[in-house]
Amino acid sequence: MILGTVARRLLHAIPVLLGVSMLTFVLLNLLPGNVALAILGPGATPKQIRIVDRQDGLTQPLWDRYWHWLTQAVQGNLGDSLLSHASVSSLIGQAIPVTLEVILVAQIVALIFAVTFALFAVVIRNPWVDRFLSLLAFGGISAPPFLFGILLILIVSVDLHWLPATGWIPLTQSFTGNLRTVILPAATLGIGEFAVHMRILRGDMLEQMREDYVTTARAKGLPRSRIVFVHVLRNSLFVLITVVGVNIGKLISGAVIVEVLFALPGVGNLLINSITERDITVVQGIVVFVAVAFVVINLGVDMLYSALDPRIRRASTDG
Amino acid sequence: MRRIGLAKLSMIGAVFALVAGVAVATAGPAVAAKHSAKPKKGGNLSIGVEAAWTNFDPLQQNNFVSYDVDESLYGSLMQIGDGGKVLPDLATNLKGENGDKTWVITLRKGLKFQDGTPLNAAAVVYNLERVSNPANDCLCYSSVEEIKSATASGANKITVQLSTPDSTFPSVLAGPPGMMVSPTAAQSEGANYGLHPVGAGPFKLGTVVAGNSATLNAWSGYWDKPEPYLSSVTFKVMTDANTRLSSLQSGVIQDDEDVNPAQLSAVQSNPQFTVTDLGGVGTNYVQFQTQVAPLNNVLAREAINYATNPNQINQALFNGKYTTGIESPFTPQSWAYPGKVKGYQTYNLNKAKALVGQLGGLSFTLTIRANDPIALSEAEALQSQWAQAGIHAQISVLQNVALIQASDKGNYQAMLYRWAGGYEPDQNVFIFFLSGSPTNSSQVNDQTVDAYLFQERAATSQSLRKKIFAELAQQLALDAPRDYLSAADWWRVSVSTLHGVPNLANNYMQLAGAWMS
Amino acid sequence: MDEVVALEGRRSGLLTIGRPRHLDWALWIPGTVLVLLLGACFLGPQIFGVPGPNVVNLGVPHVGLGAPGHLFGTDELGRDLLSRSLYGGQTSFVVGISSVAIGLGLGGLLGMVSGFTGGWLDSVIMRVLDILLAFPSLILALTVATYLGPSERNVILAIAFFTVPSYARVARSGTMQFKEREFLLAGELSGAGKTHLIFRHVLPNIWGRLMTYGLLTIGVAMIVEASLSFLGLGIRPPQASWGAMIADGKAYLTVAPQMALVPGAFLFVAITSLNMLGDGIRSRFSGGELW
Repeated sequence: MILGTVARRLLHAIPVLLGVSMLTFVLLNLLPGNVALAILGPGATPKQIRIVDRQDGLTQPLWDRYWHWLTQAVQGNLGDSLLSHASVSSLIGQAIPVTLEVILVAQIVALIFAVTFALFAVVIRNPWVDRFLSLLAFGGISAPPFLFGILLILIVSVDLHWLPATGWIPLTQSFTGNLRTVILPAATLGIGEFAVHMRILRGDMLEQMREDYVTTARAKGLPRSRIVFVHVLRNSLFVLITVVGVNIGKLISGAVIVEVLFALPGVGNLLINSITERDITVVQGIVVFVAVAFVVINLGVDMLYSALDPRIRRASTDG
Repeated sequence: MRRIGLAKLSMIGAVFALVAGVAVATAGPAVAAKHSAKPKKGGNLSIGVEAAWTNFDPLQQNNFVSYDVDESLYGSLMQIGDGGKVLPDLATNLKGENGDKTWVITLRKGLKFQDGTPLNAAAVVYNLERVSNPANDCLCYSSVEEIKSATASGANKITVQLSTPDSTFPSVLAGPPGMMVSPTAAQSEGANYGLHPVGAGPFKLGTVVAGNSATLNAWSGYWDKPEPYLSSVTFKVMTDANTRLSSLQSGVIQDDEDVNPAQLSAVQSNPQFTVTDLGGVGTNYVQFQTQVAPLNNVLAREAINYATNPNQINQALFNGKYTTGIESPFTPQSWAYPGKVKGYQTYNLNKAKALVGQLGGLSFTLTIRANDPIALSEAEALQSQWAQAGIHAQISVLQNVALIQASDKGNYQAMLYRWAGGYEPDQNVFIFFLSGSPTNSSQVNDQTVDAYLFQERAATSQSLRKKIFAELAQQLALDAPRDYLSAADWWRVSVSTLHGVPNLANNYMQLAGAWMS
Repeated sequence: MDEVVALEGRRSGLLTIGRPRHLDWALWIPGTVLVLLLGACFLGPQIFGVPGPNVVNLGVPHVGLGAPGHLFGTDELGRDLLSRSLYGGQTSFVVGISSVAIGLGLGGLLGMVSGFTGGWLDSVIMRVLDILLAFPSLILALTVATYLGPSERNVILAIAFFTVPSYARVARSGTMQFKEREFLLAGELSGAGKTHLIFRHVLPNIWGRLMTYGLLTIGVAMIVEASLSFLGLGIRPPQASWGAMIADGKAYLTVAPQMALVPGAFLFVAITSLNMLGDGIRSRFSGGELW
């Protein structure tokens, strides 16, 4: 049954992916200017532009180009960058570890803080703590990522000189260097995540506290903290898993901004640069890659969720 | 191009930028670093640059950054030093014969490429044929079009025949055409050569993150031992001036190739940093599309010039760091500088108002490049100055490629532009004002201007040429195709522990002799 | 968008912070702040008599907070930051509200038609919307905004375009629920037209849900506007919006941090209030039939 669901979901994803790639392709080709101008610069003669266009295959009709791209893409070949002629998969391969690391670190730190704060609130049961956390959560959700990032740069980098404001040192090069460059971007991206997680976790835990099994446990004389830590938290964590999955899209959008702000060589920056330089194959490749990742991650999360929590299996969502 | 309206140079631009900047060169690679201290081996240098390269093939160098990177990979046959003096590099001598129609290159002996291929006369011939073959579409083609033939006249001697006499040929060999690629690598890699370059320069290509960074490692086989001193050099692309400066201050990079003048004072007062004035022979200006209404009316263009107060903008936005009072394509740094130009529309609000009244109002669109906060501030400042004269300007923001397209097609009214400039004054005027030139974005069509341009090229004495340039400047003032704001000054800031980077006339960053203390 | 999508469809209890007795302040405080802010932005410039938002005064660049005549300082061109923040607020609110209104109108209609009609039409509409939903909203908004070019209208269109699918989903699931109800079946039997049923019976029933969702989305739309401005694809300069002002200020962080911080504070307060208000309303109705 689960295999059937997976197959159906993947089948549904195919027209979505086709549509997404087609939409991007058409939109990008409508944009003014093309990659030849990025290569040749101002003052290029029409002849030069034609030569570069021909080299890149841009003189062929739009649908021929899309069809060519598509037949190659389904075989796993995303083509070469029109600008640098490096393969798109190698470009994405270079950029993805950066984006992934920032997202993962942000997510892990956000989860650790969210669980700690939510537990604290549920165990302490103080209205002022509640209000404070509620405000904190709203603040975290409401702060656009770049605003928080700018604040961090201003305080941590410009004033205190603790961490570099920009740049990236890969993990393979230096562990401490990498740590120093990942902290601010991850914190910027993580604040919103933290807020969402904490709100949801805390709300669900409070609801769980009213459930029968908690009442029974309390009647048995188990201390509140033990009930919270051992039973309630475990049950509430399931909810978090879904939220983490659904939030992937938001995280990717956030990563674009964070990478631009901190000048990180990740997928987001690659995408923005490729859009501005009209490097269509690279944009196409990233868009399809992100869409596939999005579908797969959501599928995985759903599977995990229903596998972990039998209560959910029946209640499937619409759409 | 340093913080320029358009980030990429044209192929013609590429040629002319070769000799851009002020010549305060202290050393070629063969000359020891200017500091008396003994150079130290080792160290990794990270340089913040403002644009990305396309790849590492000299055929496809399209901006200043690619010159800087390729200079370290390849070196070049010649260098242009102080006052335009030709200095040796891979070649030891270059002699013009037959009235500068024939040039004889003497190559340094025993040179090798990084893949072991000998760099001999045959390799140089291969390279010169490679760049001058129209099928290879070198972005440098307009500068090598004049090469009729290149032949090896000895193991280390190459004779180059030009179709016309050209006394500036040495500057050609100091640019992309003088960067020698390994024939073995170029033949085996074919179209992919640009990703796997092999030169004879001090550094070899290491890891590249496309569009973001390139690390070059010291090559032990470099001819000028014990150079290079640095273990590695990393070029990091940081398009935002603010990002570069904060990266320099936080130690992510040790050299910022272009500092926003408004932030200069912050680093100048800090002993940790050294500021190098790279001069300015180019100009910042608003270019007008002279063939499209409403700015096809010379009175409208004059009104805008009268309404512009460059000095006020310079003081407010750039702490007065730029050189203002520019009224022609030539700046005080250039020998062709004519000073004040008769007929140029220097700031005069009343005259501007009168002209606008005569025109019955004036409104147009000023186009600027997206994501350039300095250009945006300048445009908004101009907008407010013009408004005082009753001129209404709307600001339009275009991404770089769209901006280039608009400029090339003449599909704009006014555009904020910066030209890094040429050491040779011709490079600031000929391609920009000659009728029908693809770079003549203002679409100036004036036979008197054309005549001056050809006279200037034909004249041989500098004093005569200076006179012609001055007359040209006056004629241009009457045409008013541009509203000059300032000289295109630029500054490099590096950590004080970086030594031995010569200040070349063409402003290439030459790192063979660079070292860190 | 994505965040709201994430929250949508979860059980209401997850979102409720505080017990019912907190409901009142949870509505009143953000509501009051929002009204004050809207009042300040739309009426303030006249009341306080601040200089025009685009009045350049090159003689007083980068004046700090609390300077005489410039309460919140000036930017690099000597423009008054208070004035720009108030006028910028107008832009941000107009962009946020109109893009949501357009998205809500189109998406709501699509969702109702889709949910009510069912069958192949429903499948086609939902697949197309999936294409748009399957995507980090910023990336497509980026492409659309690049194509349309920077202006207030285009930013509104770019944002509205990508709010359509999420509204359609909300409207569709609401419609499906009510479709099951007997009174609709009865209505169908009595021969009433589809249009009549949708607008007379379905719409009033899902209206509250759409509006609450819309309120929450205004904040998100304002953030997207700010993000587009931050990436250089926002409104046409010199018009101010909070996002565009923050983006401008980024270049002058070290010399004039107020340029980014003043509009940043406005944006932050506005979005926090919007989120709290939307959440408060949702909590209030959580016991009722709305959720």
